Amino acid sequence: MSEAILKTVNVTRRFPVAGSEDFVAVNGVSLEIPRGCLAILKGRSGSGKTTLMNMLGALDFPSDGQIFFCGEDITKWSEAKREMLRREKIGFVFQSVSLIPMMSAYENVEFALRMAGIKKNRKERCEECLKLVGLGGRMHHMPQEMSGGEQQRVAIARAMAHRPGIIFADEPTAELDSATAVNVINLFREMVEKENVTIVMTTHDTSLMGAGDVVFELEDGRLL
Amino acid sequence: MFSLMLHKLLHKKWMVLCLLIGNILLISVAASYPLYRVSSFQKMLTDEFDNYREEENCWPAVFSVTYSTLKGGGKTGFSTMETEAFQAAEQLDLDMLDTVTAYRLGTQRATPAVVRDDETGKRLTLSAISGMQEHVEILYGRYPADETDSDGFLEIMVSDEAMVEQDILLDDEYTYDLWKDKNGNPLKLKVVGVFRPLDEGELYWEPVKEELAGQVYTTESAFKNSFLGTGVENLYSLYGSWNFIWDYETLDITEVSDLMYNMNRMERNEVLKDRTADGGFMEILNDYSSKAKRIEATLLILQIPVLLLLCAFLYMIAGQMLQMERNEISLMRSRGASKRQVFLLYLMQSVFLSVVSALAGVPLGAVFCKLLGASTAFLEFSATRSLEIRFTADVILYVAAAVAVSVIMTTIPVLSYSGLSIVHLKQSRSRQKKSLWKRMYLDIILLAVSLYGYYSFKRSSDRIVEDVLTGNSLDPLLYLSFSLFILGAGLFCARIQPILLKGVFALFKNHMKPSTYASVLGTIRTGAKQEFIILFLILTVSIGISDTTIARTIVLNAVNNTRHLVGADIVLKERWENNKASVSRDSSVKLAYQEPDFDKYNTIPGVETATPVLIDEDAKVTGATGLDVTVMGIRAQGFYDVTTMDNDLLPYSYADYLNVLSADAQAVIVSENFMIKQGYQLGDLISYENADGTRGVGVIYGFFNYWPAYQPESYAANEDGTVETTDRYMIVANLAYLEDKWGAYPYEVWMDVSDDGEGFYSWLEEQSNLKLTKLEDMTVKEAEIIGDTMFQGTNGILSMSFIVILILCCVGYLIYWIMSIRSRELLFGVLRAMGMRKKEITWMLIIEQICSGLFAIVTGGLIGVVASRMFVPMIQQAYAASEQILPLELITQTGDLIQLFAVIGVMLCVCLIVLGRIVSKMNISSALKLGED
Repeated sequence: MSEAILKTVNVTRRFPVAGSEDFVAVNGVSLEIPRGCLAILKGRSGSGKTTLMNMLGALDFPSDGQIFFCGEDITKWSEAKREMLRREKIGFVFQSVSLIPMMSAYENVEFALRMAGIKKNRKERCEECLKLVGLGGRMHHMPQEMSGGEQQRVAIARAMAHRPGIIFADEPTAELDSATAVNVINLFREMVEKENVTIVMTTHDTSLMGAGDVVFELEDGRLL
Repeated sequence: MFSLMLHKLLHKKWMVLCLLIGNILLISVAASYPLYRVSSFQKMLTDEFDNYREEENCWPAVFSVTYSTLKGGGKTGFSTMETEAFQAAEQLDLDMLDTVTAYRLGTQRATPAVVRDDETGKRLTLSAISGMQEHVEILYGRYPADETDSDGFLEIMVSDEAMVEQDILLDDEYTYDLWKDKNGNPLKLKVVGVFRPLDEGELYWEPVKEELAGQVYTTESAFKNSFLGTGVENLYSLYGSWNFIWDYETLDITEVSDLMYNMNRMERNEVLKDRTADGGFMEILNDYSSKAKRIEATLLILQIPVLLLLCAFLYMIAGQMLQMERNEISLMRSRGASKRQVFLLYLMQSVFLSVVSALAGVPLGAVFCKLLGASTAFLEFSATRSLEIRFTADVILYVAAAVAVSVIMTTIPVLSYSGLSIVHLKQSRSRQKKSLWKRMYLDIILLAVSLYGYYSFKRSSDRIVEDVLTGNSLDPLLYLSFSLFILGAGLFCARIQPILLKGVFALFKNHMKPSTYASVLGTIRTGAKQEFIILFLILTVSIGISDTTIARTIVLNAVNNTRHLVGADIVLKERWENNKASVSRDSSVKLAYQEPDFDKYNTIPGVETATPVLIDEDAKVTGATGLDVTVMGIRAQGFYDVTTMDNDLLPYSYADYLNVLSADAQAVIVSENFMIKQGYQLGDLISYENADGTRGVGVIYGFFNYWPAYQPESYAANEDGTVETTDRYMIVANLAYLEDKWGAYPYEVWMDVSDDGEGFYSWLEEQSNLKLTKLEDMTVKEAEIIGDTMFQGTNGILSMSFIVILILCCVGYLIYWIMSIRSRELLFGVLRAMGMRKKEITWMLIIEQICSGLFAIVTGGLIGVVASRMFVPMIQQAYAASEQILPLELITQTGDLIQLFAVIGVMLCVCLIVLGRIVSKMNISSALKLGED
């Protein structure tokens, strides 16, 4: 394990609640995620993992604290710079299926490449990613023609297509049966090994913990 | 169930608002038609009476019953007849203003007691009018007594005019040669008074005003005592008339048919047969009825497209709403609600919304009606003109029909959804079908049908002229073809839009920015959802363009045509003194006119130029053909100044024609049919004579097909419905030459005015001695055309339709996009998470608007232009066929187009702003949360 790709210092996120004290979703979390590992954020529903992940993925700002991406404090960045970061360096896989419905599996993956401004070898890369997730034969199917597991695998292929440094996966297995879930985790391991990406995933499924290189556990917004 | 429905409605307030708007518009358009019909027809009816009164200078609303007997004819019964007459008048149920009974004795020779100027006898007509004493002033003498005087004289009076014209003086005594009194003594009359009507304009005088100068009057009771009654009537030739003067201003259009029916029935009635007469009102009512029928049909036809669009709109929104409620329906069904219950719930909802809409729709209909009545051009309304709004039973009927239609349109979609269970729903989600109309090739079918209609109408354009002359309305099939063409072309464009986009996409997809790529691809893939909104926008633009063209074209062509026929801004003809009286006494005397002073016309303020134009419509070409011809004598320069002529209509410039005419005194230019039908050529001599037989000879210097005030053909409808065309010939000569040959001959004065005639009219008012036999004013004529119910109704309905379509389009467009964004919030969240900027998302929306909105506007514009070019000339014929002389000019005013596109542009901008606000408020993490539900 080399230097940390992602590091947080005392990250806190508060949400104002009308008529009472602020709700603190994430409370003073400091952690380091090394490059090229599969990190797991675990915790029960409502423990603050999604909120923490949204901040890590530059989708949300912390109320306090700093987040360093490759050593740079991204909380100080402009929205435009953060958007460029999301485009080029980050991939997302969401809990629910998040494919673009009017694009085929192939086009969904290709779209990530377009977003990242990659023009060369798009076709090869798309096919490579889709084959990696085991959908080489269903590349031109539309999302609504696929099962939930297949769609989630397309989402994973899309998240990795532009070779981001880091992929965030928020409960990627929540809506999948256990066999498919295991497949997804194995896929993640394969990606970490083959593509040398860092994957941060959240889950409440304790049976999957063993697959992670690093495991962080959250409870009531605090790191245990 | 009701509370469930209310809860459901509150939950979908945007869709409900759309449904309400659609419903309200449907009901108000439906209500405005009977409202406008009643008010405008009422106005038209009163106008027709007013015009008749003005033109004929008499009160047309007089119902008369007459009765006459011959001496010794054995026929009596004046008193019975009087009762009959009053009963008949009663039956007509009119607002009587006055009743005038007039009796007279057959005209007979009477010998004066004192012979003046060798006149030994005078033909006298002894009359009596009821209630005369209150309506006359006695100038000399006194009012006649009811009884004969001591010497057996029946006292009479004469009007001041009769005193002069019949040469009857006060105290004159006459004895009838033939008429004897009851006792067998010769009937003796004595003039005891000379009278004058207190007020000649009084309606009382209407039935008898023509007779005042030619008759002598006794009192009504003296007349009755002396000549009427059993045993007496048979001694004389008698004539009686009972005149009922009624108020046409209070005649309601709903009473017209009854009145006409009763009048016709009286014509057939045994007692009244051939005895009833009307003061012209039957002619007016007949004219009115046929005009009303034609207008009624035309206006209804014009409204059909907008009504259909409204129905389609309601159907679309109701369908959309159901689409959103599919989950709920399937849930209800799965939990055991029957099909019927679901259906009833939606039926109740439709009825509720329609009834609520009716409450707002009827007042809005009244507003529309006012708008219709105030319309002066397409989308132009003048506040000064307004119609009186009257609610009739018809309105309720139309509103009820509209409510029924709306309920049907909004419940039909339920039929296909009420059977839905959750299983069906899940199954149907994965499928995306092609729209029904695409599978049926409805667009191609509609286009084919409309083109068939177009070509068959084009081939039979004569028939349109015939139809109009025989009082038929705009052919519904013609307008239908026009509407179908627009609809078919619109659908066709909606069909090719995705194909075009696919082409563009295939060509450029590797060079597109991600946002452009995503939005174009999205537009292609979700095309079916956009079809309806694209179609609506195409229809709005194309109907807008063709409606403005129709409205402008019919009015402006009518105005230009009338101007061409009238000739100049103001055309008048003075009464010329002549010696006709002496000509009739002595046939050797030549008819001669006395020319009034002409120079006065050049000094009227506001009159730029005045020129004399001699027009003799009863002239003939001398010789064997004896062709009827109109001779026009002009002063070239003046004529050029007051008339306008489009040079394109003549082979040479208008000025050239007038130049050659003024170069040679004997030069004439003649209508082209002289050349074509009569074989005349340039340089030929043509000899003609005026109505009095005085000749003139001209050298033909030119031919024309169009000339101010010249109508090449006249049409007349035969009774069997065919149209007869008559060629009309015209010779234009120099006025100076005609005056030289014909002497002073009555001419018209054509004037070019710069102030709409204001100066002229104030001048005219001061001229007490000026007697005009003709006065035509273009400003007045133009106002008449614009105010004509047919034109105004057409303008109004086209404007109203357009406004309604525009509102629908706005509402539909906005709701479509709001829905479409709402349904894509998750997608936008994903895109934002992937690093797409808000700006890029907005750009995506703009691209989508360009793909659908701009495409629709451009194609809509093209369709509108093509449809106008094809159909407007034929539609226009229905408005002006018989008098259309000038070639038809399609008129689309740039101002109208700017207005049209400005309104649509504003709509699109508002749309974009609303969408932009929604996008900017969008929060990624909450958008993504949506996906977790």
